[in-house]
Amino acid sequence: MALGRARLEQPGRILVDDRPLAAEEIEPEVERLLAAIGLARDELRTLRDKLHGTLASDVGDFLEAHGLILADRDLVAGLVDLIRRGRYRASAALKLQRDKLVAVFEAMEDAYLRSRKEDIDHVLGRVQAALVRESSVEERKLASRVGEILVSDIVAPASWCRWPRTAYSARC
Amino acid sequence: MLERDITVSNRLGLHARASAKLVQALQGFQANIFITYRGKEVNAKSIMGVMMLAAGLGAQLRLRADGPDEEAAMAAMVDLFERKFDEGQ
Repeated sequence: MALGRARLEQPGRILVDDRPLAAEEIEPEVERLLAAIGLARDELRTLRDKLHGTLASDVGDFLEAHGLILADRDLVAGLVDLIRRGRYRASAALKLQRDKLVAVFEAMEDAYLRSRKEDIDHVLGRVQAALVRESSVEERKLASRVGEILVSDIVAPASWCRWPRTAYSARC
Repeated sequence: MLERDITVSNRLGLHARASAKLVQALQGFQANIFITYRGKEVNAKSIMGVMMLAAGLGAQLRLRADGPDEEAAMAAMVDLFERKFDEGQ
């Protein structure tokens, strides 16, 4: 049993603004998306650089893969296309792309590969998080939080390594 | 243009980390490199493309390299598959 202030993290849940973009909003929205992708990539790179010990190889490989996913031209072009041609806001474009990719994973025969839809949720969830904050100040505050109970059904590799080992005492 | 058939022999198949290693290994080559599986051809330099192949253990792939450094690119790719992406199994 744990008692304390709880914080809910749902990296796979994307808050979507469904209102279509006006013509003059399209390019600024593309820029907002690209900035969020850049921020998410920078964060992954920073986390990767901080890794040491056993985490360096295990979690590091995940972070490298997630960084490459964010750099994938087809993925980014698909998102930009949804904004420019579909007039979707960045959050809605992320949700559409996420749902399309996850559907492909869910149809995979191999059980392990099917389970790796989590990689898509971690990566696109990270971009979504970057969209709704101007900087990663909030993340840097996390290490100093004491006695907080994190509630999440999935914890991304990037999340585990952004906390110092002393920052959590138990998980279940 | 070079073509080579190869079988995925690492236990977890072409998941994100293995796909990342493949993409990184090919980044410095000028050749266009493609992987075909079950009639679907993807750019081997695109991690999303490789992951979307859903190629698990035992999958029979066709590798294709076309460009000035195609031999070296093909060799690098085959080496990675034969090393099981350094996953040890």
